[in-house]
Amino acid sequence: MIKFATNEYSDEEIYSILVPEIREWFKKKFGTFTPPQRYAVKEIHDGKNILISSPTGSGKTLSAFLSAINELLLLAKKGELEDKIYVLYVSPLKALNNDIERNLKEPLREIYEEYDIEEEIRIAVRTGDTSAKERQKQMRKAPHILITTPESLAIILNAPRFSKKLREIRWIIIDEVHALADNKRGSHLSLSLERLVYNMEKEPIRIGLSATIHPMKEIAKFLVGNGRDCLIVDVSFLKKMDLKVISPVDDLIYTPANVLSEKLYKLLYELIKKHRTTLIFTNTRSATERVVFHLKSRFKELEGKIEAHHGSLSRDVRLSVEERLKKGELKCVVSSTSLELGIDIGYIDLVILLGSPKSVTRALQRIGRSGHFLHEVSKGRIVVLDRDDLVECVVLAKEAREGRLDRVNIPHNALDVLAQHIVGMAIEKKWKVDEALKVIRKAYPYKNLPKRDLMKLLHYLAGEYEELEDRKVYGKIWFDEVDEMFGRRGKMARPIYYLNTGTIPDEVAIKVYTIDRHYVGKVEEPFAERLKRGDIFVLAGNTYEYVRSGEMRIFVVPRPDASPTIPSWFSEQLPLSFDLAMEISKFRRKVKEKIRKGSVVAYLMKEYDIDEKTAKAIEGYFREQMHFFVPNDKEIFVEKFEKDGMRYLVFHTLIGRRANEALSRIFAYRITKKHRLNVRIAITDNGFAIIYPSWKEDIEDEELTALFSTKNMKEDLKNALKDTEMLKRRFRHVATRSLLILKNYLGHEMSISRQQRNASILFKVVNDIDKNFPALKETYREILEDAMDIENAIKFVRDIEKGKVKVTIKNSFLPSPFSFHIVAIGATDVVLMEDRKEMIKEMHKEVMEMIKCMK
Amino acid sequence: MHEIRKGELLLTDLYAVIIDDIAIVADLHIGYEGVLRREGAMIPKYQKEILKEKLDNIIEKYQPSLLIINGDFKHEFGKNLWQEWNEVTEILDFLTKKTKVLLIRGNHDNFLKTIAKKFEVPIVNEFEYNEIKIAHGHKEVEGEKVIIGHEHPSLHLRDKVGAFVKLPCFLYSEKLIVLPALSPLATGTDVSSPEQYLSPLLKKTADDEMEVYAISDGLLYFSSLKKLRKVL
Repeated sequence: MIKFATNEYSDEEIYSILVPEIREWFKKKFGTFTPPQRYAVKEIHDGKNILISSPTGSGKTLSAFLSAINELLLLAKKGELEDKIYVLYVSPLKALNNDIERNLKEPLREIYEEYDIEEEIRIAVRTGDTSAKERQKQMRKAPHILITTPESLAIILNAPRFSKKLREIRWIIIDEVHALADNKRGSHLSLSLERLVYNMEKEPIRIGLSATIHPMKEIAKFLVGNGRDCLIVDVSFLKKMDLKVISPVDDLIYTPANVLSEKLYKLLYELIKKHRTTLIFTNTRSATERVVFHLKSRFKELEGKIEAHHGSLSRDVRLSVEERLKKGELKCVVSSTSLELGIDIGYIDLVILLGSPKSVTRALQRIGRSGHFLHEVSKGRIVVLDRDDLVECVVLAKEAREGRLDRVNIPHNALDVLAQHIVGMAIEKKWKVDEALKVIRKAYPYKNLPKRDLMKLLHYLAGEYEELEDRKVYGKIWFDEVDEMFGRRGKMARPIYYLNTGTIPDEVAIKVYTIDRHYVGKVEEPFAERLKRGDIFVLAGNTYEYVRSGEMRIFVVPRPDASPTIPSWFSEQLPLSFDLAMEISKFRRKVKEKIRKGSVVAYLMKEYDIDEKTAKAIEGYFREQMHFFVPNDKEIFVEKFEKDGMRYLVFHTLIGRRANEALSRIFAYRITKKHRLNVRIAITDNGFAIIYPSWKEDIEDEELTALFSTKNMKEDLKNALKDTEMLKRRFRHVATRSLLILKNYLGHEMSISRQQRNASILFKVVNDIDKNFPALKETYREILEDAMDIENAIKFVRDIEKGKVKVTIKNSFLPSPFSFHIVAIGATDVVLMEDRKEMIKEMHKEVMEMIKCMK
Repeated sequence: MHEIRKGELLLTDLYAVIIDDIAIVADLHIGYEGVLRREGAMIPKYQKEILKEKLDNIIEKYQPSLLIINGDFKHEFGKNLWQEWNEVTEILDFLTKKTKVLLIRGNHDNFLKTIAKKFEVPIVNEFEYNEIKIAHGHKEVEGEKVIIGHEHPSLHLRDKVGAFVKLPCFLYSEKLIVLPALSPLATGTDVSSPEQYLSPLLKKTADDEMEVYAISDGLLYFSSLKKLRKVL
């Protein structure tokens, strides 16, 4: 059973279970227990699994470790510590591992200094960076507490000798569970844990630490796996929060761009000046760089006191920034996502979110980085730069203050991750398929794995798609389909597993700079290859014109007012969550109704805690849109207009980006099929556009209405994705994870360009030989369920079918205010006619006509 | 249309040029999968059956008395891989039962001799027929009219909404004919970007008037490089 912990133990009750040395040390150092400690320590002591969510500065680490350290000290006193691992700590970040090591060593040192205890409690870190010498040391004398990452855990599971030291682990602590549960690293870890536990006689206690996330019960199930109990301690609400939305200017429409950025940096500077240390979050790495650059160059006293921190910077640079933050040497640090997780960065008294964080959960995690102590207030300011952002953030802030979080999405049955573990399992021993299936299904993300999927995967891993003579080469495992047994094949499986395990794909290779050498972002190689001078494309929410290419980089100029001419199918942007989108839809209806009756300003100021000018800006924006139509939770709006020789069908479907990614392609596919044309799509959080040349026929209103049908949505989406660059790109990731493309093989490392080329060849071949090839099946699943949100797209369309939501279609001469962003900076892609021969004939005709016109 | 006559030459949508009773194809790259596999990309065997079918179609339709493979019959530069050896043997066996075969040496064709000898198939650097020179094209070639391979020419098309396709194509002029690659896995040089051309002969003699014939469902005439460049 998964339930919330209800017993809050007193100091005395907790002290009574502690050994005297720890009791005295704790009394002297802290005096009293913090709330998470009161709920957790005793329960862990009693052998219960527990998931803890509590704010920074609430003694989280000791909540998790105290009970285990207590037991270890008891053994140490008696001289009974054995040469094995008692505590396994796993976190997604290497940086966090070092923090934890330090945070454990210090209390132990203090206790050992005070008392005369014979045996030492050994703590060691093991990651990809651990030297061979250190690993040998750990082999000779196993640490009692092992600190590691999910990837290193998967590797030591298969280490012939070291894995034996893992057989009697008593406590497993998973830190930052929320950062793992919603992605494939989490799937990977969940399987590692079940494989680990399978080899143990006694089930270890599982302890999870997580940021606020919803629903906690799902995260708890993820932590403990299927069929185990877990208690949840959620004290994340303990810390007070002061959250406000602010705009740098009074008028977000007509203020010229240069004035807006002038005012923005002025505002940031004022905020930084008034606080001791400010942490600014932007949504992209390029924005991070831009903000640092402008603040440094505008305000000389910030020179040397402001730094960037993001994933593209080298490890040394990041470490030095973290170090300087801790020492209080920096006034401000600007980050994209890298500082969201709990690395120790010292005292932060203000968090600024530049632009919408797109989900309430993320907003709370980011703001939670401020106020180091439990009694302090977390202070957050969301700075908005346009009107869509303003509306979104005003709703988001209210949801955050009221603690309504968006739901987490845990991926299910990822076959590529499973493929790695099957190889790992096969190296270990011979398995009966049913026995293996039982272990796999214990992992929460695989609780419903169909046996036929596993069989198909085994079939593929055994290389059985090849003729008999070639299986030796392709097969990574041996599989007997009749007896349903599998095991190791050959000597290559082990090195392949060691060198290629993991879930994070290599990054794309081509960097994008402006001509004056400012970093903008990255694009995929196949995209860069097909760029032609003058092409305009969207990258990270801005439009750029391609100028020229250089060595592994391309150069562009910003073209903020131009429409994209070439689709860029990758998006660095954070997606707006479905739940928050629903709330904004409701908000739109409320505002519209109130404006009809008079004014909404007073209501907004009161209900949403914003000042008058912000409220007026919202009212103004809605009034303009009311000349067209204000789409909301009960009525959606489809807008048709022509612009620059193209027809636009703009669907105002406020259902979050992931659901719009799915819906836009489904509708586009239905249109391409009927009208025999290729279309472009542009997608944002708030809706999408389907775009095609004006000379093609108009699409009648009845047909647009008929698009809203739940029939075959999944199939239509899969058809829309066929042969797209997006599919190929995801396939590369899946093929790498499935060990079909080996990044490391026979001592060679495959470059990203090669990976890309080889994956595209593999894609072609696999598509031709077997549509149900596991890697292909997983690619579609990943796109439909993880990258996109097919379920909510279906749910939304079903509401329309049932008449719960109405559709209004209007022709207009110019785009409505709500569609500006969709048209200008929506992430773009193309959906092609299904009949490729027909399509090529059309393209041929087009080219020949253009050539004729030239004469 | 499926074929286009150009004087004594017939360009076909079967990736071949026919002169009288001679059929010419290029760039099969047999065993490519094996080379990729050694690199760590587990590409299932794929090309062999497709290549056999393509070659069979040419032989069935045109009944050539001589089939010329204009270079890069196989892929691996170094010692023959086991897969390559088997497949080259199988395809040569298949072909020699149907017609006479001549291999022209390409840059990938080292060590081919050993296998070819078994089937008594000659390997030459170039071949001349009625004053038409046939050579792979990775080196300079002398001749009034030359047919080469090597380049894997392809036409990159993009329409108004941004749809993108690559099509294998022939390049044709009075002096130089470039064959498309027969391998279904070959990636091609974009014919509209002369700076990417590989063949020294093409680099030297490529003129804007070269005509482009792409293969899709039949042959599609795409006018000249000069005109294409203006609209693409």
